[in-house]
Amino acid sequence: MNPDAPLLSIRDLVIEIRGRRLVDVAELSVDRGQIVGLVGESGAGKSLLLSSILGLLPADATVRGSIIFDGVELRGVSERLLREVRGRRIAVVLQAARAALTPTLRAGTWIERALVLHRVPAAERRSRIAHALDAVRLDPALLRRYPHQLSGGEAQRVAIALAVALHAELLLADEATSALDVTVQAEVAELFRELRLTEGTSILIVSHDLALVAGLADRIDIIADGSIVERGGPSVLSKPQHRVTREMVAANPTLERVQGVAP
Amino acid sequence: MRRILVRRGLQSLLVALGVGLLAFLITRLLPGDAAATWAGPRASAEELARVRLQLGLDRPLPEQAFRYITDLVSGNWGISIHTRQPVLSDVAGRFMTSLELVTIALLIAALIGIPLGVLAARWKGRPPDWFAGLTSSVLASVPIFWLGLLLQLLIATELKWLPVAGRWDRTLNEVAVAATRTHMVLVDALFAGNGALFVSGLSHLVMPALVIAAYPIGLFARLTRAGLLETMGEEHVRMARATGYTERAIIWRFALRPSMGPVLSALALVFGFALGNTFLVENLFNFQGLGSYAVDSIAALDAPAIAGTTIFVALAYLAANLVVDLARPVMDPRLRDAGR
Amino acid sequence: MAAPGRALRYVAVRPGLAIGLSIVAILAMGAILAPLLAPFPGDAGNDTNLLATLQPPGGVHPLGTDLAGRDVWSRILFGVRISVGVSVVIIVAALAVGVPVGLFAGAAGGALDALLMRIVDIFLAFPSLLLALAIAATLGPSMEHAAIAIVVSWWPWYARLMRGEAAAIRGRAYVEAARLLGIAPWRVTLRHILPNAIGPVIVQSSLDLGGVILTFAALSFLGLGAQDPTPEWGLMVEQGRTLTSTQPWVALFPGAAIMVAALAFTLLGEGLRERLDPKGVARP
Repeated sequence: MNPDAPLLSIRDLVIEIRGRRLVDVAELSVDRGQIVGLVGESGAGKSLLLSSILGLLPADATVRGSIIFDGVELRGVSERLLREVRGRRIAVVLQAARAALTPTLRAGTWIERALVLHRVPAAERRSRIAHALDAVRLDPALLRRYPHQLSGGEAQRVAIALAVALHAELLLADEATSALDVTVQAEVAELFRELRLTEGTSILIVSHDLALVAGLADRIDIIADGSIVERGGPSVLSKPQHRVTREMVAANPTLERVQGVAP
Repeated sequence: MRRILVRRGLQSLLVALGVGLLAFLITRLLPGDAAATWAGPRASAEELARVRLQLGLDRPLPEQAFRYITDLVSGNWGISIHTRQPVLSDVAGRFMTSLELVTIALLIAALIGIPLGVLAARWKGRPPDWFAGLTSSVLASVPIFWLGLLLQLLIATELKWLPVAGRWDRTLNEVAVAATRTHMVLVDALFAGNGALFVSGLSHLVMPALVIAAYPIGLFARLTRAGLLETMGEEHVRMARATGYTERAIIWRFALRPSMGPVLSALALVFGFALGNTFLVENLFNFQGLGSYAVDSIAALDAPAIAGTTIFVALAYLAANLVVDLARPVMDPRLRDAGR
Repeated sequence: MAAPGRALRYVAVRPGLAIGLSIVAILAMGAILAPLLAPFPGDAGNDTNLLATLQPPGGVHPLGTDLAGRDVWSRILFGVRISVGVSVVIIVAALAVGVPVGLFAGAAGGALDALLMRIVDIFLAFPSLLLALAIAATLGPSMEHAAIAIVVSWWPWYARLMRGEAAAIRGRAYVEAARLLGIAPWRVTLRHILPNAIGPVIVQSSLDLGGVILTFAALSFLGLGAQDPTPEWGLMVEQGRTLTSTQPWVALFPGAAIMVAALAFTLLGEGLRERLDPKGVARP
């Protein structure tokens, strides 16, 4: 296990649904402790790509290619093995924060159950949760609430807290900030940055929000029609080469502000 | 929450009042002279007159109605003509017997119907789903009295697995009567510590309960399937999958409870259905429940008893609706904070 | 031009609906052709044959004979008209009462709405079967009285359903617009609210047909509905009730007929519901 090797390495990934080729990515990797932004318009295939990493595609989808996580090939592996990875090593944060939590469970119970699922010993669970709450800056009292009693930002933090409590190495954020208020978005983005530092979590964030990703990611991959069309550091947005990138940048007035900060 | 409770309570009270009036009307509309029925066929003219006065039949109708309602509220539900017992105690006791039957039936229905619905949802579009769907439709179409006869014929007469009728084995008659406190054989048997009576009571309850449970099984299955399918498409299920739970755990531990809303609502409806159909079943299986009491009362043109039964059942149905409405927020936390 | 083809395809992939339709078609044929199909048409009326009582199924009596020597098959055939016919009439009558009441309450709103709905609530406080039983008992045993009893116990459901739909539609923009334009309220109600609100009610009633068939049979079984010699299925089951262990055919076949008819309409109703209003549920 080479510590310098990418944590996640996707190669020649092709996803087809009912004959239509929706994703065709030659290469995409995330290093340890790296934040990668996958940016594209709706329907570009971003969410499908994320779903495929954990083997959560719809039944009528066909997948080809390789998805290597921490040196282990995930594609084609049994459900049982995938379930070990899900949540525990690769965690997910969804767009609809409150809707992602089970409505009939208190937030704390929801987290607890997942820890039990992944066989975290009872003695450890409490300390892990305490630490996780600290890391995401979530008031422990909120754990007694039901999802509908939490704000969008709070619910999102619950999901991230679970990822931290499980010591997940890779966080897949599927439009995790898109449904939040602007100020809350900034808070969550800040949280991601901190997690990278304190927990060493790698993050693959999928979004259509250029400004957010520009201020957050180490590397930005632009995806259009299922393929990566351009890739680079945040400067890729100030000096876009590909037509698609140029169009997106042009349509995004807030970027100018951010570009001044980016290297 | 409290405000809703109060409002519902008042509404129910109003409805209960209306029910009482309706029942009163029914008693006055029944064919036959109430006084004559009470006094008997050989009563003299004097006796008839006396009885008529006693029953207050000479007063104007609105006054009779008012007296009737106030009597009801104070617990005086009259005396049954055919049993010569106070109607309220008659009805209450018989009701408990029917309630026992209905409760067992609903329990069976939930224990069979809900898993059937889960099965149908899990295998949507495949044979188990077809089977569950067809079963639901068939169960909704079976005439209860016919099903009862059929089961009696097959299970009791032919296979001899279960007793044909009655509430307990005839040999336990004395014991059962002596133990009667709540008029529920299972509860009474437990109080008396009599295992034989309990088992006998249970074996006599199975068939009639199954007959009543038929339609609810289908209904619960259908509602569970629909609710579950809807829930399975929701984001939190996707999240649960991404967290690493098995499909089975997701269905039973995460998706089922949020899907139970419609089933719970249907519970009140089904309770009413079961209560309304007990008399068909009691008829067949020789149960001394509220249903057979109602039938006997009708045959005897026993106005007070008929009215009493009608009111009691309506009140029970109202209570059931109220209970279900209160239970829904317990089942689904999203309903707890009104207007959040 | 495309509609019949589409309809056919719609039915073809839904075996439930297909089965329901087929049985309904058979029932319709049975109802219309009963006098021709029945080997002993008189048995459905006043004929008795005391020389052939309680014959087991077979030979000239495909389903056997009953206590009065009457051919069970013939009586079942003629019974289609009664069971299904009366049930349809009952539903139509219940709609005829319930829909206007509900429409009125929903469209008017306010105190009138509240009053009407409280009255409806009183009726709904009774399990429908029990109410029908009480009314049928009050009126005296006969088919007509049983039908009336069921109508009285059934219409509140339609009233409430209609009221809900009407109230929802009344709040819609186009109704507001119509009212602002100065169109008379009654016209708004009839032209705009009624057509849009009545859909789910009709679907529900189709689902209820099976339930009404069962209820009517139940009342007859208890002796409160059809009387002898009417070949009503519920009554026939009752007549064979004490004979189930020795001559089961007398009660079993008519009961099966009830089930088949109820099933057909339930399947039909469910097939329609799927197309028109997914939230309806067959009521007991």
